[in-house]
Amino acid sequence: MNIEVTNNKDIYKISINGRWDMSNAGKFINSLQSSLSNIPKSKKLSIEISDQTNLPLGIILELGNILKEAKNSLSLAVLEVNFGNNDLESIYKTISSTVLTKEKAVVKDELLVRIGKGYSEFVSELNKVLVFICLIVKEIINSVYHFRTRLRYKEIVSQIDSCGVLALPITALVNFLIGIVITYLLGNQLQYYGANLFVVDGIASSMTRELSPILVAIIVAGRSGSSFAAQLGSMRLNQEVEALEVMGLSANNILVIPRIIALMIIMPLLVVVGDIFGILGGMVIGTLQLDVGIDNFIERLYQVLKLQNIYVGMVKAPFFALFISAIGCRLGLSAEPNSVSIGNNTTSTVVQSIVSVILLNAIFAVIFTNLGI
Amino acid sequence: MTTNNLIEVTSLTTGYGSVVVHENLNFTIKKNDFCSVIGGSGSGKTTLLRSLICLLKPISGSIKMFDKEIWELEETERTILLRRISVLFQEGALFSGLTILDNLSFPLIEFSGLNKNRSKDIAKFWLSKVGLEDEVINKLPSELSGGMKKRAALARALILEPEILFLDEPTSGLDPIAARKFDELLKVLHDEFNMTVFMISHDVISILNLSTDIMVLGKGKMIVKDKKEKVINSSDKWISEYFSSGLRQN
Repeated sequence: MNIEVTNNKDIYKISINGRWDMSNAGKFINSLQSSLSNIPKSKKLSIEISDQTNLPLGIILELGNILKEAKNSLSLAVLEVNFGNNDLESIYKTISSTVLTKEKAVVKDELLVRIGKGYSEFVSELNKVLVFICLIVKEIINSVYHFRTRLRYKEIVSQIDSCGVLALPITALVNFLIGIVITYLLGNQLQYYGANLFVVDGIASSMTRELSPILVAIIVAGRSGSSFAAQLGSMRLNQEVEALEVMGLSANNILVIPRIIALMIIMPLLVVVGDIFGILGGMVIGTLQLDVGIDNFIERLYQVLKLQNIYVGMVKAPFFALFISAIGCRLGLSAEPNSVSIGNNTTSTVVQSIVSVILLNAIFAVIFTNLGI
Repeated sequence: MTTNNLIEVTSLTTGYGSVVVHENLNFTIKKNDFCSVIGGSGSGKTTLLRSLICLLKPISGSIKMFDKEIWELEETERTILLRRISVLFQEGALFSGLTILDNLSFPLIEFSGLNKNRSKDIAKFWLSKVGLEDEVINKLPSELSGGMKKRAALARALILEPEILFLDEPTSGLDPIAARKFDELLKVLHDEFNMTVFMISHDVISILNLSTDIMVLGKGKMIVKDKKEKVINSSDKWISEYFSSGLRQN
C-alpha cells in the first residue's frame, strides 16, 4: 500500500499500489498530494494504478478531484490515468463524470449588519411578546368576566400546586441563603462603626422591596417558565395543540390562561415566603456572627419593617408572573415541531423572562420613586 | 340550496409564505364518500389536509364545507362547524398528560355538557368499537403500543360522531397485520355509520380496500380525482407504477 513517484526525462509517473480502504483515505490523499507537490509545472504526468490495486469509491472520487485540481495548478501538459483493472477504470470514469452540486457559499454578514439584524430581531421579539401579553390579558379579562363557564379551575389549581407549592422549598432555601450573605456583608461594614443592629434595617428593606421579588422571579423563570415552554412545545410536537384547535377549542383558553392565572396568584405568596426566609437568614447570621440578640433583632425589625415595602414586593410579583408565564407559553406554542426548536425556545424563555423581570423592576423603581412610595 | 357535497374546493391555492404548494385545486367530496389522497412525498397532501381542517389559511380560492365558506366564517361559527368534523392525526395526538378515559371524555365534557361519570360509558363503548379492552382506560398514552394509541385516538375522533372524518396516514407505523385490522375497523365504521372519510395514505392496500374515490396530487396540481376503479386503471405511468410498487411491497 504505497504511492511512488518516478521520472524519466520530462515524464513523471505516480504509481498507486496495494489495497486501500476508507480507513486510510486520509493517508492516501496526503501521500498523493505530497507526491504531486514534487512535480514541477508544465510536465507530463501519468498515474499508474496496477491491476492488484484496490480503491474504494470514496478514494476514487477524491483521486478524480485532486487530479482535476493538479491539472490546473501544475499546468500539466498531459495527464494520463492508466488502470490495470478494467472495473476500477469504469468506476473512475463514472464517478469522474458525476456532477456534484456545489453548495452555495455562505456569505457572512459584516459586524455592523449583524448588530443591526440583532437589534431588529430584539425589537421584533419584544413586539411579539407585548402583543401576545395584550391578547392574553384581554382573554383573561373575558374569562374572568365569564368565570363560571370559561375559567378552568381544576387546571388553575393543578398549576398552583406544581408552580407554587412545589417551589416553596427551593424559594425558602435560596432566600434564606441570600439573607445570610447580605446580612454578613452588611454586618462586616457596620461592625466598624459599632452599628451592628442596623443590619436589621438593611435586610428588612432590601429583602422585602427588591431581593425577594427578584429572586423568586428568577427561580420561577428557571423552574416554571422553562417548564411551560417545554410542555407546550412537546404538545405541539405531538400535534396535541392542533388536535385542540381542530376540536374548535382555543389553545390559549385551555393551555395558556390557567398557567398565567395560577402563576399570578401564587407568585406574590412566594414573595412573602421569600421575605420571611430572607429575614430569617439575616437573623441567624445577626445572632451568630454580629452579636445582635434574637430579641434585639425582632424588636428592631418591628420598628423598621414597613408594610409598604412588603406591598411593593407583592405588587411587582403578579406583573413578573404575567411576563414569565406569557413568555414561556408563547415560546412553547411557537416552537417548531422538532426537539432542537423546543430546546432553543426553552432556553430563550429563561433568558427573556429574566431580562424582562429586570426591566420591569427598573420601571417599577422609577414609578415608585416618583410616587414617593 | 343545499347540495350533496360536503366539501367543495374551488381554485384553491395553498402554501407557506411565498412558497406555493398547490395551485388551482378543484374537487368535491360527497356524503358517504371515502376519498383517499395519494401523491409523492412533498406533493402537499398534508398541506391540503391542514387547509381543509382550518389549520392553514389558503393563499386564495374557496373551501366550502357543509355549504359554508370555512375561511370566511366568524370564529364562533367556525368553531361550531369544526365540531361536525374530526381528525385522526398521524401520531394520534392523544393528550399525553391525560389517561385514555380522560382523552376520550375531554370532547364530551367540553361540547356535550356531560360530566366525567356520564361520559365513561360512552368512552367505553367507543373503545370497544375500536377493539380496545376496558383495562386501557386508566393508562396514559405512553403506556400503549403504537397500534393501541391509534385505536384510542380514533375512538376520541369518533366520540362526537362527526359527519366527516379526516385521517392522516392512519396505518403508518403499524405492522401489516395491525394495519389490515385497522382497515377492517375503518371499513366497518364507514359502512356502519355512513361516515364520510377523507384519508391521506401511502398504504396501497388500505387505499384499495377502503376507498370509493381516489385523488392523485403531483407537482402542486391535482392529476386526477375519480372513482377508485377508474384511477387504478388509469393509463398515467406514475399512477400505475405507484399502485404496482405499493402492491409489490406488501
